[in-house]
Amino acid sequence: MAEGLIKNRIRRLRFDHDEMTQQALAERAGCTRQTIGALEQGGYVPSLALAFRIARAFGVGVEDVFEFEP
Amino acid sequence: MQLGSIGLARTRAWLTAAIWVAAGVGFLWTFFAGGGPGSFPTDSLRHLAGAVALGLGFVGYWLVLWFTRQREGAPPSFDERDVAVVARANQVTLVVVLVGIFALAIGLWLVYEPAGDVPAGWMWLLAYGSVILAFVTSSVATLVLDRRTRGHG
Repeated sequence: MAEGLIKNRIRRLRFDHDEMTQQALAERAGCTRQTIGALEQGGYVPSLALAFRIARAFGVGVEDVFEFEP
Repeated sequence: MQLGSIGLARTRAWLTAAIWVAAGVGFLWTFFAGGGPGSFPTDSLRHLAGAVALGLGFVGYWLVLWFTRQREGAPPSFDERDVAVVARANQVTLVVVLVGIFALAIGLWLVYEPAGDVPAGWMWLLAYGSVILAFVTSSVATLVLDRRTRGHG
């Protein structure tokens, strides 16, 4: 599966943003808290739209949140 | 309505599984009690009981959807991951139901082939059973796949 090729720094970015809660990030990104948890655990790869919304919630670019490892 | 913080998809799946397992037990009891498939087609009371079991399953399922609907202004309770999980669960359900119907049909043929005909009552089990199996499988598959995509327990 291609899912393992995309890593993210969501947990680290939440920490850097005053320990933003998963629920707060979910509300900003327009998804559920369970999906944020799944992303942090590496169990789910988001759509491009959700990836952009998460990056925007942190005020950074998509590549600052997600990393593609070929 | 959500059960704690387990998410809408899991809440719906748990409730739907419970409803359709109950409906399935109810139908199987009415089907096999009092004579089985041989007398089921002509026993109006068991007929009615089976239909009530299936009907209650649909009403219960509709109530689950109603009470767990997305409220206006509330945070999203169902997102793209839930859609992906449910879609995958439906694929699994399709295969399971196909295999179930195939197995029952072939099983009946193997059992009754020497006699030359199959009691028509089995068609009720095939019809009702496929509906119940579909709902139960979809719910269980949703629970399993949702747990997998979380990457933890």
